[in-house]
Amino acid sequence: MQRVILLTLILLSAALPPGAAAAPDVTLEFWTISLQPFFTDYVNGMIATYERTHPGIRIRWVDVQFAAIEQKLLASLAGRVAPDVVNLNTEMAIRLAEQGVLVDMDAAVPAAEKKRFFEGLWNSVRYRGRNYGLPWYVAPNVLAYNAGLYRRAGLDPLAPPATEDKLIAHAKTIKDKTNVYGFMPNVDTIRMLHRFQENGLAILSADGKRAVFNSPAHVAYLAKYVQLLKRDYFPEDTLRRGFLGATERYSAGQLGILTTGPQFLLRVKQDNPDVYAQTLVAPYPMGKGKTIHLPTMAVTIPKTSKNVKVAVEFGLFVTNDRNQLQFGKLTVVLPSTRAAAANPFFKQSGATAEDKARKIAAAELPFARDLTVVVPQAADLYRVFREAIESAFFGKMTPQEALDWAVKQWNARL
Amino acid sequence: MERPAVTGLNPLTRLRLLRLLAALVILVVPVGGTGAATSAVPDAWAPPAGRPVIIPQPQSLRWLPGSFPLSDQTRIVVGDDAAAEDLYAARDLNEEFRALTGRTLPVVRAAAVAEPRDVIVLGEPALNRWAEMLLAREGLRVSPADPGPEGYVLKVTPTAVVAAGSDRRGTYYAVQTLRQLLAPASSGFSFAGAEVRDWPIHRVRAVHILLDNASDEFHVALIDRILSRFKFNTIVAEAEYVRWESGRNLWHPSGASKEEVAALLQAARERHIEVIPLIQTLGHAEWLYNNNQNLDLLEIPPDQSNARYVYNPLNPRVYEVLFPIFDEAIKLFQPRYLHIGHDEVRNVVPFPWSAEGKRLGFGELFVRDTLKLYEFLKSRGVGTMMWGDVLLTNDFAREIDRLPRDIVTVDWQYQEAARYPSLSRFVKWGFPTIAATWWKPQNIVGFAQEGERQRILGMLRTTWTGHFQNRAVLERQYQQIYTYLVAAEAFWKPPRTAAPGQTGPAAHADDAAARFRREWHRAPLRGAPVPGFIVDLRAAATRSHIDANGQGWIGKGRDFDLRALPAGRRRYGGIVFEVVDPAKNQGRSIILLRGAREELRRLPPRGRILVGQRAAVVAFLHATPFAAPRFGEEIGAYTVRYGDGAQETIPLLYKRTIGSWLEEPVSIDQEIAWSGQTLSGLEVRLSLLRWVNPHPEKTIAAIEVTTRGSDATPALFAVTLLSEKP
Repeated sequence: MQRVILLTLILLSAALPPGAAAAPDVTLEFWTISLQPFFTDYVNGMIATYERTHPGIRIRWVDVQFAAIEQKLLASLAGRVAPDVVNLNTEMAIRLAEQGVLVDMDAAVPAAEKKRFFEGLWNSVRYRGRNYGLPWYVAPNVLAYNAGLYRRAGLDPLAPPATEDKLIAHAKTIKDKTNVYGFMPNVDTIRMLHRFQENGLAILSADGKRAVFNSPAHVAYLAKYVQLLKRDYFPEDTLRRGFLGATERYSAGQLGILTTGPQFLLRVKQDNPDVYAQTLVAPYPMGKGKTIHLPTMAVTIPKTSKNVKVAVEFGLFVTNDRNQLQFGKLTVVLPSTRAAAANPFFKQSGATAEDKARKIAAAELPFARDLTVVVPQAADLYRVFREAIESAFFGKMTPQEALDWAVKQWNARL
Repeated sequence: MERPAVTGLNPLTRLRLLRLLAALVILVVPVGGTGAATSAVPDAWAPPAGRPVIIPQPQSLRWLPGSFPLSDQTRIVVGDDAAAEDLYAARDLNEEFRALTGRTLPVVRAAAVAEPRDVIVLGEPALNRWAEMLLAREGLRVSPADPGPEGYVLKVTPTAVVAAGSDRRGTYYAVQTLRQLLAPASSGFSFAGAEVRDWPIHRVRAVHILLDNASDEFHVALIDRILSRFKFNTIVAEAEYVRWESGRNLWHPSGASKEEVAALLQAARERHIEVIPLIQTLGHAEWLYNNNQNLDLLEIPPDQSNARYVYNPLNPRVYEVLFPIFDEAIKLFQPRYLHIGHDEVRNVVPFPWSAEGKRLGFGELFVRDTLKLYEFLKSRGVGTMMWGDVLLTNDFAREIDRLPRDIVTVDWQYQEAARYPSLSRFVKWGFPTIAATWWKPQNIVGFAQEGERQRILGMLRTTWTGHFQNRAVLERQYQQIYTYLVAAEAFWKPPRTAAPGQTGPAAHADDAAARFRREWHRAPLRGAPVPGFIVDLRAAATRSHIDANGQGWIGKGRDFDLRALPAGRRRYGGIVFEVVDPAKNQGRSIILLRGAREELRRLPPRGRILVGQRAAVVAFLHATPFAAPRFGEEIGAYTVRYGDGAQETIPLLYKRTIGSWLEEPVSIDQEIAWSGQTLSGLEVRLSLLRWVNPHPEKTIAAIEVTTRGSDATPALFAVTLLSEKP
């Protein structure tokens, strides 16, 4: 897997998107994350509308895989061929904000426009007091599970797990009874930081100056999953392939339960209609912290854009109420603007798994917030944390040693 | 002896200096202290002391008293029938002499030698009678079976050196060990006395590279200075972007020409390194569509993301494109194996996509494609090598039995783990297997140990730098390259314990980085020390590097300070530095300047050290307390002010000429001088910047340190002046 994501700055420059072709007055390059093939028409339509209403401006759309976008963006920045408008998740946006390469949205966006967004979401891409991204769409995790495998395991498909402990119990039963993995928990890389918080376990001290994620409770939580891996209750590639691997395995009928953003149901539907037909959805099992992570997608503007003002305008267009509402109707994501989110559509029920997931996700919003840990030297700190988690899972260190080590590394840098 | 910096100058210079200082005092407020002194040291730089460090560590090594001195009479003696391949070892030895001593030795045949004195005898005993005689005299045995393939015996005595292999490669490796025993002596140069008996644990010791149109410069140097010297015997070279005649429409501007590849192959062949071409197939197939070609081979519709990642193996034209390129690669490389890639096929795109592909299923398509390529290669007398990750997936479990068992599978695992259970699955299936690591030391060491336990074919160190690779990798991804030395060690002799740092001289990453750097630059050896001056920082110091009370270093207390760095005079990178003892200097020892972090905001934005000496080289021992977000970012500067009013500025470039005390180097330009541990157990390090003064004839009046005020603000620990360039 590392081969896929490892496109280094030095050599990627050869593979950078070509510069914008000869254009009208202004050509903006717009990068999105993994919106093809499902939303090709939507994005093209949105762009066509914008170009029609903004004569002289042309948008060149490039869709990039999630795993590649950050490195590709860094390479394009180094090569001075960066796009004008880029979709990033919070974690990536924070890392780039720290590098000083993103436009300060607090300064660039008029106050009236800012007010359109939920305040919490506007603040999610905040680094050292400034916002660096326009919140776009959010997608709280839901639980999708294979009713057929549930039945084979002797579990009741109408009684999905309501807690994390129950989820683990179900996953173990599925594996024991069917020899198919029950789940691929979201404990790889820095996602363990989200799990800690969902279980009421703090990452930083109140003043933000010390890491505190090596308490006995944190260690016990990590140790629980280390034991599950050791006992083969989830596959090792959980740690390498994350949610993409989980979706793939679930789509192949080789996974009982998927805890993921509801938009991935579309991929299951596309890859394996039989598995999709067996799929039921339920609320994401809440941890002890009674909060759930709300991954937020943002629209950012690299400072290198020669048309920052137009790029910001286009970013605001992409994230406006109308476009977000339309997007939300196509898939299972929720808008970041108040007006779009208030649309009755998001409270409607329906027959399909996506319809149900949408309603569930909307109901989860009161408990959801972006749990991305915003810290200085984020790239180094996240790397340290990821290495610690891998060390624990692969037996290089005990969970206690791994978290102790990571806390020390964080404390030296915080 | 210490003296004020402004003494010893001629009156005019002193006057200019005083005017300059007066001007600075007016212009620069606040300033982190003034005043300094220098003290002369006769050996400000000195050659390395102690026994040489041999990489990889031999299986058996006994140091002997005395050494073998090089004299005008010394000759290299090869067998009477030595062929060109036998002479590579003698050539390497002479190249070493030339690089380090400026001279070479005559190479003669055994028949031309009357008695074995002042000789360096090279060759298998059956092919060189002097080798046979010297070994017998020393009671040493060498045969094809003892120590065995690639094994050798080396003995260095004051009168003669014998380097004898079980086979030709063994002799070559004996010479690679001998090269590392060369050191300057009181007069001239000598080899340290030693008796070595050695052989490799892993039969295949490979490095993976990506060919580039600068490969003939970079990779040939890599083969010459690193891979051959440290006993790698195989290169797996990604070759899909080579400018194949049969794929002219696919040429990429960065693709290597066949002439460039030929130069690399020649260099490898002359160093007993086998080169295996790797041409990505099935997955990672973007190269097939370069310049918008071959779009009819797509499996994924062209309007989909990453459609060019895979091809449709049901389309027979795929092989009409691939096979001529394979043929060309076989003709150029003349390999025993061709690596067909075949990894991560489903990691990026949903494959198969087409209805027919879905009906057949992934496993079927994978097997069909593999067998098609395998049969073609077999018809050309070439074996197949492929990555093993797909074989480990559930998707493929039912198809394993359909793959021929003479396919060499390469199991890549890049995690730092205690055990690597995947390897045993390949062994159990009956494939000849190579274990592939990435660059983390414990990954390399642990997997090599697992490989030894599973008795696999060998080891491969992969290097991932996009589609191409050139010298830039040394400047931006150095950790991927210097850890070749960790691999050299672990592949030859996997250590008994897994903990890096206790597994041999190259196992500690900083040691490997320093050694690689020396080998890469390979400067002439100098036996005599260089005098110079230690600059006293006491008056200019702004903070202590020891933090007993939350007021020193970065204000995080004793667990996160640099108390492991000894105060007083110590030699780092061959240069004597003096770190001030804060207990004897009112609690201050270093020049740490103002930074963005709260703990550093009250520090002065600049500091000035008075010098008053000439220097050919100025050496700075320094670090930043926090990281800068961008590689190469200028975080501050040293300004060297001369007595005549002129000045030179040395920009401090993050991760190039200065680095954070907490981060490993990522550029060969950043030299690590000292490393240690905090009380809390963190690995920390200081960098060494050797600045060659363009005006060694001028007196340096002062050195000014400035900061840009970011998180990564400079911290200067010591400065030493060298009177000559070593």
